[in-house]
Amino acid sequence: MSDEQSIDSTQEELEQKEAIQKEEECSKCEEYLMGWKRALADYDNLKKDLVRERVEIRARAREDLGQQLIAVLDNFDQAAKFQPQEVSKEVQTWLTGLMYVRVQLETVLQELGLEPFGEAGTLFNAHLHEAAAQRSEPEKSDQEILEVFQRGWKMGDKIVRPAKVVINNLHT
Amino acid sequence: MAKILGIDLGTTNSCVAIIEGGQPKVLENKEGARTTPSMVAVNKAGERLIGLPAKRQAVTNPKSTLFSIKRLIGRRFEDAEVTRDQKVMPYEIVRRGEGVAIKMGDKEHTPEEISAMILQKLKTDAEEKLGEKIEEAIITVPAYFNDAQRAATKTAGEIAGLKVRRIINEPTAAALAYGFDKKIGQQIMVYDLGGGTFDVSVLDVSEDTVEVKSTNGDTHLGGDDFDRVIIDWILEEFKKQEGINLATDALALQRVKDAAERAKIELSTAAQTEINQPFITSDANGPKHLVLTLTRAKLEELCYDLVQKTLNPVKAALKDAGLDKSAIQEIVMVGGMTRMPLVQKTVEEFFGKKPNITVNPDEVVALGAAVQAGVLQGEVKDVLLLDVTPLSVGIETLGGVMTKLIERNTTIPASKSQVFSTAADNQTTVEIHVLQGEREMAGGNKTLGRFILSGLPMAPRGVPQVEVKFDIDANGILHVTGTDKASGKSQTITIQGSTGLSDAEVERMKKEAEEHADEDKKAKERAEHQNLADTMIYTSEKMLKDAGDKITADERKEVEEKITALKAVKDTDDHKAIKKAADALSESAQKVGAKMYQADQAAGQSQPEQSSQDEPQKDEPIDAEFEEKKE
Repeated sequence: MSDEQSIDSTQEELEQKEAIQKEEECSKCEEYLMGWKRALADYDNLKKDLVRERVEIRARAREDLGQQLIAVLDNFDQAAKFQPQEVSKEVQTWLTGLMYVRVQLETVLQELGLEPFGEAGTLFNAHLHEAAAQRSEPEKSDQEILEVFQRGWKMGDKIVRPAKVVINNLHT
Repeated sequence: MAKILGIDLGTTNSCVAIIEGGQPKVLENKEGARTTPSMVAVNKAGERLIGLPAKRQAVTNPKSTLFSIKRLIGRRFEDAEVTRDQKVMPYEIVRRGEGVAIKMGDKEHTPEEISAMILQKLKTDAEEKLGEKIEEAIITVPAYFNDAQRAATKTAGEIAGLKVRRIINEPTAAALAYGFDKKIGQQIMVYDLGGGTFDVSVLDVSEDTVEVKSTNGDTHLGGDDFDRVIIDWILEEFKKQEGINLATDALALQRVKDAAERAKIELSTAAQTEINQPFITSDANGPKHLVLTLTRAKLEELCYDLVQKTLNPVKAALKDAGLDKSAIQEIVMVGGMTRMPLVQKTVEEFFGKKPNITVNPDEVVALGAAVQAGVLQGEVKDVLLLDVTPLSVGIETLGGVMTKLIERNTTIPASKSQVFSTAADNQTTVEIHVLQGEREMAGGNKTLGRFILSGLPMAPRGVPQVEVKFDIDANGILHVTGTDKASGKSQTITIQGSTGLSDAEVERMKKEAEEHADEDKKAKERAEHQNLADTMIYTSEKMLKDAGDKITADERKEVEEKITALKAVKDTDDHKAIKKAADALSESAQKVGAKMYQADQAAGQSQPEQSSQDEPQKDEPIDAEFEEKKE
């Protein structure tokens, strides 16, 4: 009788062990399956991210190219400020041609999606303008832009470069 | 689960990162920038400006534009730092109880409140970017911050509506970003040269902590000092050339500043740069242009003293930690200025080992804070570690060249296949020689195994298609299979432990590849030229055979002579001679080819005409055209 009991209990123990082992294996399988699904999902999401990133990279590349061209355009503008008063007709025609090149450059920038902004006479806005210097001109209103030293450029809503300006400060 | 923000609240700039898909990632702010100036201002209209807009109006509103507030946080009014800042800062610092307050507009704010405004902006921008609410954060502080400064930083976070889960040390965060918390028993040095401050820390990594053994630094040394040195040089050079001081012209000075910063950045990668600012000013003689060439050598000469100045705090930190420089296993570079080659070279020479700079030094602290956030929110779990192949694997192809199939650093498991062909006519066997290494030529690399795929059907060279497939499983076991696509015959070889090389072995092989790069490149070029010559000879000979009596004896002789000439040089090292002979052969062969083509056409035309010119001939391809029918 006692022998039978001990055989039964050994059998029971074995079955219990097997059940535990099976449960462990099942949970491992579950964990692996979850991990696999997660990896596949991550990969799928990565592909979507890549598509989105590619669009962003293209926009950024346009912006970077724009930034470099803006510097060239700035120098054209700077040159125009120093244009001599009295020049011969030939030189004047030549200068006019040169300034057409400037217009062409500006067109390229606009085709890249960049838009210029910033005008003297408007009020300073730190979200759009950068104060490079200040003066005090009592006949004009406080915080008014007196001079646009470098025009600002935006691409959609994004400010690619703030307009660098000289502002009127009546409190100095 | 809501994300926890990792925030590097810097003296000059701040940066925010999160963990996404187990990886730390920097979040851009609303203006699209990856770092935000740590500046707050109130303009004349009473509007509060934070970050870039605050910086943009600083010139016109100095008294109400607050920056470098981190220097004041958690300080007592009597502290030397406060006294110093009272003298140099354009804004007003007043006593508030034991501590300080700063005047902005007509109100006074504590440094905690100012920092909270910056944190609030970082939080709002991150929420907008992620499209979800952020409630918790980890904020980094310098290792030397005392309890009061840490507590004040935590308060700032709470005022901003963030539950600050941890305040962690900046050098620790930088080490975390590199995963150095796993380097148990190692000593790490963090060299942080930022915009306005220089900090150096020695870390000791143990089982479950990263302890800061010592810190040192210079609170007033940073990128701004380097910029100033370059600006001064430009101003001086211009004065020498034109006799004009640009420093007195605010707008010209602004252009000089921009140019100096650009030059500094360019010289991190280029050996020299041109500072080109035409029409910068004018005098009675007309407009003046600022055109200067700045070489890296000159820049290094200008900045030498500043860089050397960083070594004293390094030595002091080592001394305080009771360590010799040889005890430092890793050096982590933090801060934008560490991109400068001279800084890296100086540190490398001092320690005799390369510093770590692969993680963006402007972002490394925020990224490390995000890693810590990931641990807290349970996203960074070492459930599955994926291995990478330490060296490239591939096969030997014509001319003894190694053709790589799986490049080094590819995450495994990975597989890749490529189709190859035969190099000779009627070749019925191909040998697949499996190689590992970075050298261009097969001979310099390690042979992992080789096998022969036989039974290929007889065919001219280049016709049979043998697909070679490399497959490295998750255990690093490489299976190489060669399959003849025509007969379907295939052979496989299994190579154990292709990834199980010792670090020293991998390093040796990589170093060898670097050392022999030039000579290998030449050998590869030679093999390529020879392969090209072989192909030329083969096709020309075939053409002569096919030509039969369509060409004259003279024409045949000319091509044959050129073939002999190319054969004579093809096995030499003289690339130019091979190319010359190959070009000459190509020219003659083309002439003969054209003649054969004309002869064929003439033969075609002598046949009775089948159709009018408007109708395409039956045997020729017909361009499909269709017209859209309009109703």
